[in-house]
Amino acid sequence: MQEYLHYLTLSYLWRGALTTVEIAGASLIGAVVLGAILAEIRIAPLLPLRAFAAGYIWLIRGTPLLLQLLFLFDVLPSVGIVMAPVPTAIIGFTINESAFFGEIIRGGILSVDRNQTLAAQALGMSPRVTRRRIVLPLALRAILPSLGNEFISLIKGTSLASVISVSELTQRSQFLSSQTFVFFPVFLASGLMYLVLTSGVALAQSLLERRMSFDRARKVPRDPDGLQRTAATARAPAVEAYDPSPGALPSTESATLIRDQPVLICDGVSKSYSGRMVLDGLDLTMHRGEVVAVLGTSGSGKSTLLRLINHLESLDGGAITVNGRHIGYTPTGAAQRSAAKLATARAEAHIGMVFQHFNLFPHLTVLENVRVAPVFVYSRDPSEATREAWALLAEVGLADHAQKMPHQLSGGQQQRVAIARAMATHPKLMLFDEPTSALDPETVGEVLAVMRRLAAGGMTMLVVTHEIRFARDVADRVIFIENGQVVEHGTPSEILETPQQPETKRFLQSLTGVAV
Amino acid sequence: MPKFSHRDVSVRFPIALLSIGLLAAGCSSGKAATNTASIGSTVSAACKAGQKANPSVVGKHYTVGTSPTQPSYEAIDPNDPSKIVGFDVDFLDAVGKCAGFTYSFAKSDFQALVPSLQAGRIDMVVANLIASPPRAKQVNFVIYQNDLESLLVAHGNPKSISTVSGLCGNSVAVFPGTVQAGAAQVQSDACTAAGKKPITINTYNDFLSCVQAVLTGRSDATIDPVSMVAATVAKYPTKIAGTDPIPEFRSQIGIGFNKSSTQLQAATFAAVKSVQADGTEKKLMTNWKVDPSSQAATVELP
Repeated sequence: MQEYLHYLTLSYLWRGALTTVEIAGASLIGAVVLGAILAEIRIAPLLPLRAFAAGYIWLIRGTPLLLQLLFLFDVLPSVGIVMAPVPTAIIGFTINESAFFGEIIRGGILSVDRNQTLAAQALGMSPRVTRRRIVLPLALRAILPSLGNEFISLIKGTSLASVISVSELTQRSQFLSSQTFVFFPVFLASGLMYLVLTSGVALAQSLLERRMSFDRARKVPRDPDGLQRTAATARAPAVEAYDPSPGALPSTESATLIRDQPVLICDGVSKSYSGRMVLDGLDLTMHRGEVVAVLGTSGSGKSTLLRLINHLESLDGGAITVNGRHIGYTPTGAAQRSAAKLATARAEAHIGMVFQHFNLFPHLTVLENVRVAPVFVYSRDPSEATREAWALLAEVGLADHAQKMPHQLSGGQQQRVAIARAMATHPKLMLFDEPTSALDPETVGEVLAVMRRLAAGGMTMLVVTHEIRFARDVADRVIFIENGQVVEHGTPSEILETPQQPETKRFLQSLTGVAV
Repeated sequence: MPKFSHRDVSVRFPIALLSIGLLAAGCSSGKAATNTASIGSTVSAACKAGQKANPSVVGKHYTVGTSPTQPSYEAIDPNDPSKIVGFDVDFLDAVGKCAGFTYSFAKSDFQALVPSLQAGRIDMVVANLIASPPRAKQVNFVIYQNDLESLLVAHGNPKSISTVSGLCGNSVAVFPGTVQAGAAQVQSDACTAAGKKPITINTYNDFLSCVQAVLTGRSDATIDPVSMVAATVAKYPTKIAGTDPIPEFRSQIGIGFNKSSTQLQAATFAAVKSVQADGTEKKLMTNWKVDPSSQAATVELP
């Protein structure tokens, strides 16, 4: 026992443990950085880059680490590159682990729900901001257990570096026991040292996992100025934003705007997916402050229309302008190839979008969900954006829930947050894609109430919905889409009470169960 | 057997653990059969007398542990990598023939040899093994050679290293389990105690990697028997050089035995005596460019 304690406290062995940590730690950092780059390249659009990354991973994963270390150590000197053992080991482990980390990170990125990136794009986030704020945090949360695994095996794997003369823990244990012929206490002590190191990693992993948990407790409410208390009385800035008078618009915009220019013009819009025509020469014009309800059977192209308007999908034919601008199309009419420029165009168009399944960012609090676009897309002053986010949440009746995580809210509450999030970008046009279809019946009303208030405030709204009552009460016009074209349009009473076309009649009958 | 229980617990178990550890870590158990002795046919009268005195080993087959990475003592035959060649091999052939036993080699890392011998997995160790006091506590020796060591340094000896104590502040390549490695560690502590910089000890797998370290400049020196140093310098005369024999090492080389192998040890001791008496050992030394004056009158240790 005493002998064992002697080796457990021997600085010779602990210095070896330090070398182990040094190599594993430096390699971890290098491998994560290199792996992230590899992962990005692997999903990049450029084929040669993709092939390069795939080839690198194939080569490094497919050959033994030991061979790679010996290659770096023994072969490179023959071409004049002589590196000391520890740097050689760090480079060797970084190269080797980056192939594995690259695949883990790629898996994490691919695991992020497509709807999350869609929501980010709809908020005008650039690819970079989407990666940094949405995809990577979600991916990291998903891959943390694998990363912990990988780091622990990296720590233990550094013992392989003894073949290139790195004096790490295992090597020192062997050296010591081969000199003293004392084996059991030495190996027991070094085994315990490894356990200390790996336990540290396990602990760090669980702390990180807790921090990234969607259920994490918020340390300090982000309400330094008592905004929550004043939020109810504060005037929601969003109201100004959708003031229908042109004077409320930024001056750069107003110069290019003619007073009665339509907000939205869809002219002969067509779109097909793998040969199947979804929209076929659709025309639609909306004026400022107008609320248009879009009805149609499922698969009739309603959602596609919304996605074409803010260029989440590219047009096959026709043209769409929002406030006179083509969003993300070059002057020749071709779709913008650069994702970053497309994002800028989307952000400048100020189109808000609300999804059927809310698509709130699950790793951000309700408040952060609302302020993420103002801060990271529009570069607004963070404290001002926070203040405005509080006001918007008060507006939709959720100021009390600002510090909760989305999944702690009911569906109706989440959808109200999603509306507040869209409003935070000061939209000039709001697109609603079946906003109440995924809700429990009892929460539909609260969402519709918010939408009514928006409409009453003068917001220009295009609403794909199956809510006949909402269409009747709130919409200025109703259009009915079938087979990619507007079959019928008119006032709510015209369409809903005296439809002319047989398709419209059939659809309304299927919704209400009453023949019209 | 209460008398042996202490040994069973504190020695055998750790060694069993080590054998799993070390052998699994990359030591080959590949055997290379080399011995050709035809028992009792052409041996000398002295050998016959020895066989008569130790009849229990005659006709037996033994496993001999070695680490064939030491040129001119035991090394892989470049023409047939399954064969081990060198002075130690020819010497053991002569000894085995005289004592009347056959053997085959079990290759392993140098550092695993003595523990394997203690664990009873091999019967002897022939590996240019220095009979150091710590080893002599673990196993027995039959001495057959005096050891002289010198330093292998870069050509022209730019750091002017000529003694082990001169290694303070420099780096030395060693491989684990060797007396040289232990001496470097002891000297490094002495350097620190004397207020000098410690020795940077670079540990490699074997002798050849140590030579490589000096060739690439990663290490300033390595410590080896004079004949190995001379043979290596002859290979790279423009890159490395050997020093004069260093004063710190004045040791002896022997065949190692498990402390319970008294019969085998006695038979081998008698055979070594005969092989020395008829001049065979010196002749074999000359064959392998090992200084014949380094033959040591055989004794049993400890």
